[in-house]
Amino acid sequence: MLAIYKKEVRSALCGMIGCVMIAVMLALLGFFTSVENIANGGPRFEVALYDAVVLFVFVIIMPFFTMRTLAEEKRTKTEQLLLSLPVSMKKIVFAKYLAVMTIVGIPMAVVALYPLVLKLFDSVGAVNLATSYSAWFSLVLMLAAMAAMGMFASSLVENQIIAALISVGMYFALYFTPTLAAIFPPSPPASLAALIIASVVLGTIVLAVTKNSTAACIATGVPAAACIIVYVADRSLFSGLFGKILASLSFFQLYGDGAMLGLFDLTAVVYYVSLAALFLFFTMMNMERRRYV
Amino acid sequence: MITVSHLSKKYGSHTAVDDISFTVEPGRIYGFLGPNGAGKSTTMNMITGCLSPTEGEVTVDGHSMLDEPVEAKRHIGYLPETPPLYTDMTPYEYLRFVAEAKGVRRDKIADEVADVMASTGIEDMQDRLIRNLSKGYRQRVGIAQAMLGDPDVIILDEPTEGLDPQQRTEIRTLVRELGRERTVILSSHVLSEVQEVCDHLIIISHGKLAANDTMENISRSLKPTTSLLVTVKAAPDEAEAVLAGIEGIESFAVTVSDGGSTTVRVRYPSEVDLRETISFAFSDIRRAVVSMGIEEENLEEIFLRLTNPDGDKESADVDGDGGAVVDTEAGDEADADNDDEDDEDESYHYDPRDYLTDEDMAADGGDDGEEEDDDDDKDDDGGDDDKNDDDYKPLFGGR
Repeated sequence: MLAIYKKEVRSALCGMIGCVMIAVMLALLGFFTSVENIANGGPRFEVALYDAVVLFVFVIIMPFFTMRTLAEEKRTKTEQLLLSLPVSMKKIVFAKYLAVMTIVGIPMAVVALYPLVLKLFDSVGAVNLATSYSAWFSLVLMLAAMAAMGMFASSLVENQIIAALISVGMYFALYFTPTLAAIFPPSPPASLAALIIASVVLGTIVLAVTKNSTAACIATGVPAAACIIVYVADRSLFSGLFGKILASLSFFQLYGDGAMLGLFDLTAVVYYVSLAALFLFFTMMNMERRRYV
Repeated sequence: MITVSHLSKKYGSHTAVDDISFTVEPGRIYGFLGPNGAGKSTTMNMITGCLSPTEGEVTVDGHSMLDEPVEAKRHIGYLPETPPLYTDMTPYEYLRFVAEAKGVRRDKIADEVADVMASTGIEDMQDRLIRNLSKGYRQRVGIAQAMLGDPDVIILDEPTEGLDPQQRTEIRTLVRELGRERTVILSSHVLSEVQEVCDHLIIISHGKLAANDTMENISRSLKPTTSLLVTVKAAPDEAEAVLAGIEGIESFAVTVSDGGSTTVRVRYPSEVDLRETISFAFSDIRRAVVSMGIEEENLEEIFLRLTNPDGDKESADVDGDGGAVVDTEAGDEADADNDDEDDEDESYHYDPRDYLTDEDMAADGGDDGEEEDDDDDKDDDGGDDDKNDDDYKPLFGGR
């Protein structure tokens, strides 16, 4: 596992994309820090990070770190080497994930020095290291979740560009869930309809992944039936339900809320960590599945 | 060592591998032979755990590939059809990576990497990027990779595919050396290669096991027949009349006839050489033999003979589209053969037809349907004659 990790880090740093993306990320984060904290004289480092998040910096940058990881192995057939090695798929995926996080961690580590620099020139004591670092830490976790999603996208296809596009699509969907939640009609039937459609989508995904129609029927039928039963029993529960579900998926807004208020938001921590774990699991399952098709 | 039991792989409704069982004993070189698309790579991928079987089981040294994949994989070194190389690394870096990933002990990594580089002869290339290496060297790096971690069995999927004759010979030598210390399974659709290197043959065709026996036994069960392509400046019926009068011919069939010349495929037992007789027979009626060339027997025919030794080939004819095939390469070769017919020591090393394509296979397989009625005649004499003085290479003949 260590061998795969080392190899991944090395090839990312020797290749163009890794270095360029580290540089781009440093340049942009440095730019936002200069604008918010130096030019505007604001003491809050978290505002600079928040700017980067709302201005889609990570949506654009993160796919470049993850798109190659698995797609390229499949395209060049080096996947077969990994599959024939006496190393489990779990370890392979995890080693690659750690390598991605190491590369992403390089600019983040540099950025972690900025609050200290600000503190150095802070004559009035306005720089709050606690809020700065809690925002930095949440951002790292958010990137960890994004990296896991990106790797999942990379495990789906052989073409790295398409893997990048899929990740961008997923990130954008997460960007706009709060907006969608706000405009979604709050009436119970609308929520019921939306949940049934969501069940059908789930079933379709299961069918596409497992090619097993029984599993797909269960994945569609059980949640849909449960919704209908609950709806018949007490339809008031469905009032604005789908909107709430969407709102609770607010990936980027969750970060923004916490960071801007200077909070260390445990909800966000749990959400990002579980999302990362979930997508790593999906990635592993998807790679394992390739042996069976 | 390796036990494969009732292995099947289905892709939807298509069955790529159908109920294959065999065992691999230590210290031998196994040839895994079959035409393109027969299921060789699929089987090998299943043995090495890169692919899961739909049914059946593979155990390596008592470890089931399904239940204890990590243990089972430790005993196997695998070179897939496409060498799995990271082209942005040098062979040295790559082999170090594989050694580490295979869990070779830290203090032994340098020695092992040096060893495999020495035995595959890639030391001079160790610091070039794999991207810049030739195909032959890449293949060697792939084999070196399979040797790392000192596995008991090395599985090589078509290691000589796409290499030039020189490189093929080198890889064959390397495989033979590997076979001295370990078990090697080598897949190929090149007959001569398997014949030269392997002790034991496993032949699969259309996903099914067609034969599984030692090389000697298989050679004994096959009786060599020579297939000769003759092009004469004559009408088809004239050519047929002449050939019908020659003794010893088992069968003949007109394959092409245009512009006053006719090409006929003639079959006769390999222990005789009828080329002179045929040539003189045509010159007797003042018809010029334009070219004459020996065709090597292809895999499809061998499968038919192995699976259907009594010669009822008509039923086994897969596509049945009959003759009318112009093989230009065969024609060129035939010309060459004709020019120095008296040169008894003539031997060629590179026969493009060693690489059988599906088309060739289908076409030749199709030809079989034509004139095979008298195939039964040839069952009465042994086929172990050494025809060293001829350019005909016996397929499985005594070597």
